[in-house]
Amino acid sequence: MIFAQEEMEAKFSKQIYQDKTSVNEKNIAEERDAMAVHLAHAIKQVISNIDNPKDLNQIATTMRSMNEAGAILAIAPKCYQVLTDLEQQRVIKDKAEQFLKMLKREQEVLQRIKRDLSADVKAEIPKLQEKIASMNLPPVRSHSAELRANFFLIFLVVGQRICSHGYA
Amino acid sequence: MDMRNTLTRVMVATTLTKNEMVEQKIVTDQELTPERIAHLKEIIQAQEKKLLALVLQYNEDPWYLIEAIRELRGKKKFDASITIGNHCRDKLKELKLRAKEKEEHEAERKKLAKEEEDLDKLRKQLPEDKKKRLRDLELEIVLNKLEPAHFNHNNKEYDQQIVELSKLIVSIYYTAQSSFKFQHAHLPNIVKSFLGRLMR
Repeated sequence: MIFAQEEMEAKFSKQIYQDKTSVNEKNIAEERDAMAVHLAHAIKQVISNIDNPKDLNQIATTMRSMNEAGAILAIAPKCYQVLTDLEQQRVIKDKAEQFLKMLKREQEVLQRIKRDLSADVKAEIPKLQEKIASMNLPPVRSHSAELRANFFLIFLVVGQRICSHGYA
Repeated sequence: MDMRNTLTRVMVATTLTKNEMVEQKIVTDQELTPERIAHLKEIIQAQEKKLLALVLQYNEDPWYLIEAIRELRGKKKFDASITIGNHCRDKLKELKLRAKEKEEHEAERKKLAKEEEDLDKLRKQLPEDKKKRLRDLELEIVLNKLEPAHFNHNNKEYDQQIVELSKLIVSIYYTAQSSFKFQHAHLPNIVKSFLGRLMR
């Protein structure tokens, strides 16, 4: 979008420098404001509709090729937040999985010598299994989510082109 | 962690390149109105502030942070480089403390495992509290291995990074001093304070 803004700025410059008789500062200010509204709307749509960090990263990379720093800075907090949440969930899941593995291994060794885990430790096993099953990681990237991400990527790129052709 | 670093790389590179282009425009485009220049400068400042806040809030990998500092130095963003340098130094200190704690826990685990082995030979078991402690330590060690790479270096490697970072901060000072745009009279004190805190 900032790339589009640049093209708009080039148009404004042309108006200002080449045809000084028709300069209308008010119109230019209005067009700039309209452009800012379109930019904010497009970014808001991306942030509220895409949850997969891989898709958000892909959008940021595409924006990089267009030098869209403002768009990247707006999308980045959402992407970081999603990554932080996933990492936290993964730590909890890893802990439960590894603990369960250890208890089962220990139980196997004890059963070979006709012993078992203490009752309180043994009671942990079903609780851990339940906890692991309730966590759905890594995030499921459904076909519809993938389509939605692609749509918003096209939405941003096409939106930028529309704005640069004077729609705003 | 890789995805986080990838995003930060994209964000830092794009923001710095974009702002450099706008700064260039401000310098070369004589027809820009003072209001427009003021507006563009505001945008640059706001974006740099946001960039810095995001890097400080979400990036903890000293190996990547040093890369970001080099990039900022290249674009003559000296204040931001030193702010991230402080953050990086704090992270390295935290990681060093964690590495020391991990070594202590590993030693404790080995001791308890040996005790368990010896008792096993006598067909006896570890007392329940020691058994629980051994289990916790073993779990901690397995989980540590699953953490991002920057958590799993040894103290020598962290020390090497601290040396690298210090060299970088000193070089930022000299680059700033030799820059024709040098307006950073406060930098010597910042560098002095950085190195002073590093020694503590």
